[in-house]
Amino acid sequence: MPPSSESTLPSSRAALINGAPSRDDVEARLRAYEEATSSAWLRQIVPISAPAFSHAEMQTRIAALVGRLIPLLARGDAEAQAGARQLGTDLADLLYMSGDGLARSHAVLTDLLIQALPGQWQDAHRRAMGVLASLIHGYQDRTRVVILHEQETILAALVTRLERTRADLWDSQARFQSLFLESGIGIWVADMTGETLEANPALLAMLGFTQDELRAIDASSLLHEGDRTRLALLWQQLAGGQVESFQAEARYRHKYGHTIWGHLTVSLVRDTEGQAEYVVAMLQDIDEQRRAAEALRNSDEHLRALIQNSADVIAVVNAWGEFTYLSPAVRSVLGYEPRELLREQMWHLFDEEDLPLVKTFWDDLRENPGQPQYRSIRVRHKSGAWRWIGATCANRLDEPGIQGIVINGRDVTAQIELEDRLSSMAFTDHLTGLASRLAFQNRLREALEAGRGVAVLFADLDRFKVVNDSLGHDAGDQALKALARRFQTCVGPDDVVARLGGDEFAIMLTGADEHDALATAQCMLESMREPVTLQQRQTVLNTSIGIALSGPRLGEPGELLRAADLALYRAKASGRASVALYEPEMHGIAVRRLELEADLQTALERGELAIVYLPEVDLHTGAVVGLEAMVRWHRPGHGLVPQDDLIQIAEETGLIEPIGRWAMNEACGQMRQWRDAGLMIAPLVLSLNISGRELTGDDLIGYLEGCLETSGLEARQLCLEVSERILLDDVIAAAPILTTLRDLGVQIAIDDFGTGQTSIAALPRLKANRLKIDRELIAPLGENPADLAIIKVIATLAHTLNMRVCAGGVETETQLEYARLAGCARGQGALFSPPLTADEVPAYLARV
Amino acid sequence: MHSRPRPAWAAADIPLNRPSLARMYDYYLGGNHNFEVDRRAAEEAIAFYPDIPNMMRANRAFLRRTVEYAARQGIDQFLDLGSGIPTVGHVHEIVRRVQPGARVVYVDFDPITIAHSAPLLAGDPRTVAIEEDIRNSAAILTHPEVRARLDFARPIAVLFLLVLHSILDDAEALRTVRAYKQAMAPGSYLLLSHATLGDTGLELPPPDTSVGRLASLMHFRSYDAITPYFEGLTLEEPGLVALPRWHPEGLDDLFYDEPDRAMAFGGVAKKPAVPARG
Ligand SMILES: C[S@@+](CC[C@H](N)C(=O)[O-])C[C@H]1O[C@@H](n2cnc3c(N)ncnc32)[C@H](O)[C@@H]1O
Repeated sequence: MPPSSESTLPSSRAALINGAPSRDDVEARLRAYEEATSSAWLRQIVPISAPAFSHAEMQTRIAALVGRLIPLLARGDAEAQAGARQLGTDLADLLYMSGDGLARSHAVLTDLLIQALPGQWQDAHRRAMGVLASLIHGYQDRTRVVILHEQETILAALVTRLERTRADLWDSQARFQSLFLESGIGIWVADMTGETLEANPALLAMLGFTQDELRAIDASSLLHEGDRTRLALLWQQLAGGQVESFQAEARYRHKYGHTIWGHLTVSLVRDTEGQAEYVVAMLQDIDEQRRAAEALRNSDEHLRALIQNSADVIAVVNAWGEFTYLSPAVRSVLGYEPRELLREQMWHLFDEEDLPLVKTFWDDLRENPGQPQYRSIRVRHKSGAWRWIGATCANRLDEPGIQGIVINGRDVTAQIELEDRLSSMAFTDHLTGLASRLAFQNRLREALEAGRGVAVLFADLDRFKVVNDSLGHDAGDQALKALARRFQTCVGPDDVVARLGGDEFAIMLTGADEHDALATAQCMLESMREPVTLQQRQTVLNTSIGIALSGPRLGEPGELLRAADLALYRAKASGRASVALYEPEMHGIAVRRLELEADLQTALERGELAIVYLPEVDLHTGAVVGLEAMVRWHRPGHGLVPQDDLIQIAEETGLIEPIGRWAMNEACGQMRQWRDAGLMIAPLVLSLNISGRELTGDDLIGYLEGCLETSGLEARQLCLEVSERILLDDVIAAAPILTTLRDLGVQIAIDDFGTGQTSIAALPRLKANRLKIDRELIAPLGENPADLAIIKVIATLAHTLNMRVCAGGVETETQLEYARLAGCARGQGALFSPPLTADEVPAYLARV
Repeated sequence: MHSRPRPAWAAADIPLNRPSLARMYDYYLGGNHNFEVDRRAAEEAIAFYPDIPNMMRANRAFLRRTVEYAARQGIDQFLDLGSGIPTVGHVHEIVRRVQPGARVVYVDFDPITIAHSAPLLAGDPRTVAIEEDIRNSAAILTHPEVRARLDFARPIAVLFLLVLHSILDDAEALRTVRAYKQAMAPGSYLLLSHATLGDTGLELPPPDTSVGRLASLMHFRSYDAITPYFEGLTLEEPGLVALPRWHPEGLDDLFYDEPDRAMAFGGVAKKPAVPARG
């Protein structure tokens, strides 16, 4: 839409292009022209602008922009372009992210130019268009910065929150620990023969023994003779697997001989294979409860006072279930004042679901006067929350002084939760709370048998060993927990997330197709983007994922798991943080891959590895300034193995370290040979690629110093190239090795910059003094101005940080031109020279 | 036996596989504080109602106009309920152009929203962001961080901007607003906007689509259902109106000619010295 200020434009055009009129005249016209432009612009922008500013404010700001823009249009020199860029930045802030705003502004402004400058004024026209282009660049740059910044802040927010959630989980585990240690309930853990493994302080206090004393005696000897046969029977049923747990009341012998009444819960704990492994018994002292019941019976004043002060709730209900007495403890246990419940029916305190059970218990009680019975049951706290109450009840309906059922209750919520935890242990992974391997296999079998289609996803951490080795096992555990937590956010309620062991995770999606599985995998990968705090350090973890879908050929749990495992292997082969779907031919690939690995093992010994040298050139003088040494492998019968494959297999097999050392020694030795042969190699810097594993490996410094010494190279003539993702890996970045290397004078270069997820903002953190921009960023140069801008930003920042920038993969004159323009000092690539064998280097150096 | 209650130690989840309304709102406004799930859901919603981004802009413009208005009436403390992500400027930035010392408390129950705001506000003792459900009025009104900043004995502005639609139950929404009205000193202002289908003739998307599921989390209320929120207060001119018609700035204002397209009514009301009869 053109600005509708026709009436003022023709004269202003005259003002811009005719030199003749008087000064005042020109100024007046210019002002009119400015105003017309402002209002045309404002009208275009108001309806779509982000409404952070008032109308009036907008007007002032637009007018100010126009006032700055018009003088620039006519000039078009570098300074004007810089001014226009700044204008673009300010405009972006004013319009905030409305893509339409740029388009609309552009329309208004080009109309303005076209109308102001007739076609024959080509030069002026071109200049003005150039200024406008700068403005647009400024706008786009600013937009990019804002996007990066906002994405970063929201991710940071996410991390903060996830960290807090994780901390909560920690707390819960600590609480679980303390439950065992601080619980008032006696807990006894034994093996299947009844041998004591562990007893908590409460149990020891109850029985009067020390841990060691208890281990030394036969547990059954602790039982009162009168209860032994009964409990032995129950134990047999448990040990024989007929029951999972039992409850009983029994008398125990204290170390000093007196008897204690206890309520006992005994349950089995099975291992991951389903085998009964442990017995956990919980013993609750009910002596006090029994005494209190007695007290009530005697209605003795003194004992009444005891009841009033007891932490247990003592209640009496009549034959209809109405409370006729409640002790004050009901306040702390259930949140009610005694009078609130008095004369109320007790039934509404129970969950409807539990009522049949309560009724049965009630009937049982009514039919058996006198005999106390124990039950744990859920009771509603006044706040609405559920509490587990362990109640000993006795029917005293026939006793004139009482005429009711006497209930002695205590809060056992913590005990019941503990029980829950214990019984789920076999099916739960301790560390993460996820399903165990056993549970996963069961669920998978069930799903397959039910004929439901499933997808199985296998995932493991890409650098788990590094984390474990360098930060310790606690950090490793933390990483696994974080991972588990994040994976869980990616699945639905019917899906299963399991930890199979180590850093292996499996996920089963029920009723999922390929699309769903990929979406979940994507979600998992995305969930890994945010760093995890390990030992107070922000660390980004990566995971790879393999997927297998059930189908006619994959119908057995075992087959599916193997397929998912193969796919995972494949995913890892194609790089970090990737996903692969199982395909039948993977079997073949896996085999070929194994052969390749085996061959590489011997390649070094058989002398199949060679080094080639890629020259690095000064982009302004054309002089050769360095050589990058790269390892090549001619695999007999197969030809040259692609570089990426070679590095990857070497990394995976751990061969990277010996190969890297060999290359270092070889290349340094070669430099010496050339020098001895009289070649001018003194100013040349030798670059070597080095992997993360080598950096953290044994005594790199010692080896390197050895190479320098025998070759006579100076440390500053050596540059170690580290790929960007390795430097970003905080485990390695934090390692003192980089600092030591730099102190030695060795240069550090960031290799392949721009391919990973590095934000430019991370550059200052990386301890490097050279930066190599990846060929992927260089290749499209000349096609898209935005690419130039990106490289320029990188280069500018690198220069401020005193880093030297080298453009990788320069192949054409255009790319060279642009790389220079963007501020790259150096370059490598086919345009200058392909990688050269050691024999070809002297001739090349002589030529240039 | 039966399922046991969810134990207290299970930590709350942050579902990242579901879109968040707060982050979608940010996306509509052109912000980048959002994730792929949010963007996808937002785009689906836009496909259904192409006007959505503009509706949100109209609401944000309403926010600015009403907040500036309250500040010009001398209000220097603000309680922003359901504050969202400050895509196009925090309320305190707008307010302080008029009342430089203003205090602002932000409340939202979206954890990421608060985790995002908290560090931005950290250096400014007069502001704070609190993670809480606005229905827990008692918790918010007695929160020490809130009490440390807002003096309920003096006039205050309470903001309910495009948030009440997410309280589906009518009685609960009314109860929520009432709790804050009671806590306000005479001379305080209520700033409120509410999503509506009004007379637009628009229909809700079918409930079995993903857009429909999102829509089912919102209650678009009619004009008559929105008026009771102001009960006991005196509406300032021009009353409860379609957002673009509340103190418009010019004919170029977004949706000025088609105010219904903003799909929301809003108004500003003042608490009288002696409670008015509703
Ligand atoms: C559409 S945004 C509005 C943001 C801001 N008030 C505005 O007008 O620009 C709604 C916000 O309210 C929040 N919200 C919705 N229901 C809420 C509740 N019950 N308690 C707290 N925040 C709530 C959402 O998380 C979201 O950030």
